[in-house]
Amino acid sequence: MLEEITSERLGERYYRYTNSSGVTVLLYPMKGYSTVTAQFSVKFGSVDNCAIVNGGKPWHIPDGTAHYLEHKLFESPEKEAFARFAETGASCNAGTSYDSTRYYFSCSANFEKNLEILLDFVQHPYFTPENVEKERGIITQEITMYLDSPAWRVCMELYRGMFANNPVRNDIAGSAESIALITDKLLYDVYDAFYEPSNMYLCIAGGFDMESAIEVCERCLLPGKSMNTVSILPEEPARVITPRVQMSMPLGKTNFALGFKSPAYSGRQMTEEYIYQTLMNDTTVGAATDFYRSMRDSGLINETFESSIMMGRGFFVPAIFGESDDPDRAAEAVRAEYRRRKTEPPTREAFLRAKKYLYGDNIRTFNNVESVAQNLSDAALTGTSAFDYAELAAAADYEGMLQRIENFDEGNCCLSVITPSEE
Amino acid sequence: MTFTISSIDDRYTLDGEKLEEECCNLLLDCILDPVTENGAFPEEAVGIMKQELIDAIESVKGDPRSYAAQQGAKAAFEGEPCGLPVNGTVEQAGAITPQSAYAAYRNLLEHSRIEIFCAGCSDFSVSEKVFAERLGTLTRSNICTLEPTPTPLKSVICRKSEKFGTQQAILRMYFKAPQLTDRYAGAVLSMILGGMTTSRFFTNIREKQSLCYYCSSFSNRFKKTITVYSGVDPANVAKTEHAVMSEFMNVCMRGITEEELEHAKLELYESARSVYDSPSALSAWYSSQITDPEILTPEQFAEGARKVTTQQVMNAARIYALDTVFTLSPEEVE
Repeated sequence: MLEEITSERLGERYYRYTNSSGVTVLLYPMKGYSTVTAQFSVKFGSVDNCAIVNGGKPWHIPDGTAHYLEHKLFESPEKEAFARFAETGASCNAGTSYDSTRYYFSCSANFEKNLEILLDFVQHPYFTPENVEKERGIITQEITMYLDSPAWRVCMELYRGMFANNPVRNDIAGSAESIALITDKLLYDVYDAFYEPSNMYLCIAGGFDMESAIEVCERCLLPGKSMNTVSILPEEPARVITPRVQMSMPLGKTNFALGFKSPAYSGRQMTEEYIYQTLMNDTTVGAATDFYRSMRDSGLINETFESSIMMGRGFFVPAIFGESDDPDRAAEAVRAEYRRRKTEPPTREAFLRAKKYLYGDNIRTFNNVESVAQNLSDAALTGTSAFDYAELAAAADYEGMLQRIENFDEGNCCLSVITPSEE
Repeated sequence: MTFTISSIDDRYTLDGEKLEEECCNLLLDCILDPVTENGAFPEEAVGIMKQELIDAIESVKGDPRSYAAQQGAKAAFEGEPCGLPVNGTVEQAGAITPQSAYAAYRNLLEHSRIEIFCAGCSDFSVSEKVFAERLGTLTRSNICTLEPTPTPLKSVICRKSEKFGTQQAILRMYFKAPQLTDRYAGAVLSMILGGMTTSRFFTNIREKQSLCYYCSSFSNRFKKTITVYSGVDPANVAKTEHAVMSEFMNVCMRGITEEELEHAKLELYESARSVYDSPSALSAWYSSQITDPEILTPEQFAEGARKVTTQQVMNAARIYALDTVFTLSPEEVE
């Protein structure tokens, strides 16, 4: 039964139904677009490194397994998925995050055939000792590539300084040591535990025919056996474990990240908190504030300074990133500004300007087929609607932002610093 | 130099604002009426911007892939503008004055070619009017011409390596074909070698030999080059370089399969068609042709690529020769 989800504000609509297999399907036809993007997602990411299956004992999975599995799923006894997509002209890829894994393609022709390939390769794992071993060298190089990236390391070190137990402190791809433990048998076990239809979401957006899409889904989505898998996130202390971490790498200028440990949210509340706390950041330390201008004029920060919120299942971290010759002084200035704003709040005008920017930024994502598919997957995986963001941003009020400023714990933070290594 | 502004369509604004005209004027205010004092940019602002420019120049060292690209280009295109770092050098940045920066800007407004590109859900009549009126007041003369020239092939292969404090080595190989006239065959060749997930490099160097996470190539039709880049274990640099050369030689000697040719054409066709689904992709498509004597639509390009034969690809491959090998590595590479 198709459920229609509409947005009066945007004049847009999409459809949702649960396929007989148990997979949730979201369809967003876009008139006048020539391309289609389909994302087949599973709620299984790098933080899912401990689970209870069929009521058994906690099962610890090596770090990096979700990412390893993503790499190997493209393999097949006949023609691998990349080669099959090449025959139709579609571009395909996949990605693993902290809390999900997504497989996707984009095409402007042969949509039904491409959808069949996507559903086929994701639902038919083919792991052998040889092909699993072959991947180890490739993934080791991928891990090394990220280890050489200061932008990645400053963030990873920040998580390690903030979180004691949450697996978000581990690299998504794992480490050379952890992936050494991964075998074909383990990948099959993990696949069976997490890639069950009720844990999977198929999201399609762009210029496609709804009936054809549903026909392919009915034919190709397979029922699976539920293993009642429950992912276990460990208890996490409310406070950061250390206020400062530091390392050295080849760099031109010192990089820093200042993260604030906040309670984790889920569903629509996570979207709402993201909006309000982004408004708080934009009006307190954002590029349009006097604070930002004075910090740049003093040379304490440069144009790389930015705020963002990193979030997912089990974590929510408002953070500041930038370059500075004196990151400790820059971080203290940021914290002092958050404190000052509790008694001298940003103006209503500043709030409205930030709100319009945030709202417009989200509206623009509906311009693009891939972004819409991404929005759909995000919504499906978090149990929200793809229109929630625009609605919540439009409804955001000044008082709500002031409340977040009042409650913001600017002292519960960690500063991650990467200094230039000696030549 | 590109100035961009984007906004949501008026029908989505929260308070019924009309944004198109306001945005055009805001953008033109920035371009035509920058803050000045005594016939130059403000000294304090220039001082801050100079330091930030120096930071940006230095920051490339924090991104090994960008640093390898910069140093590789310096070796491959020595003496040519495209061998220069995008942001210049620390010394050049240090020499900027409020007067020199403003003079350079006035020179840009007077003599550069100006292209205006609008994309989105509007007929842009409002934009056209605003741009015509306000840019019409500019004094313009001796508009510069832009004629990209192919990069010359060195008589001896240039090999350069640098030590860097990373764990992974980055290999960049530059192939040049100054005599190449067939732009479509060059594009298809680059796709087949390292431009798609069924490319020779992906299939044979990554998947079969497990040498790297990425090994890709891209072509530059102005400079007539194919650049190959890969991140590898330092111990495997020579092996990867050899593997890249083998793939190139295989295409020269044995040609390509019909299947490879079709995959490459389909990929080019698909990416050309997808341009129409995004205002930013449309803008990028036409901006990339700013120095082209003829402007191609995505369909025209796809049609040109569709006619390429296996023989043309083989012929193109035979014109390319290895010019420069650059390696960034924790150790010195022989």
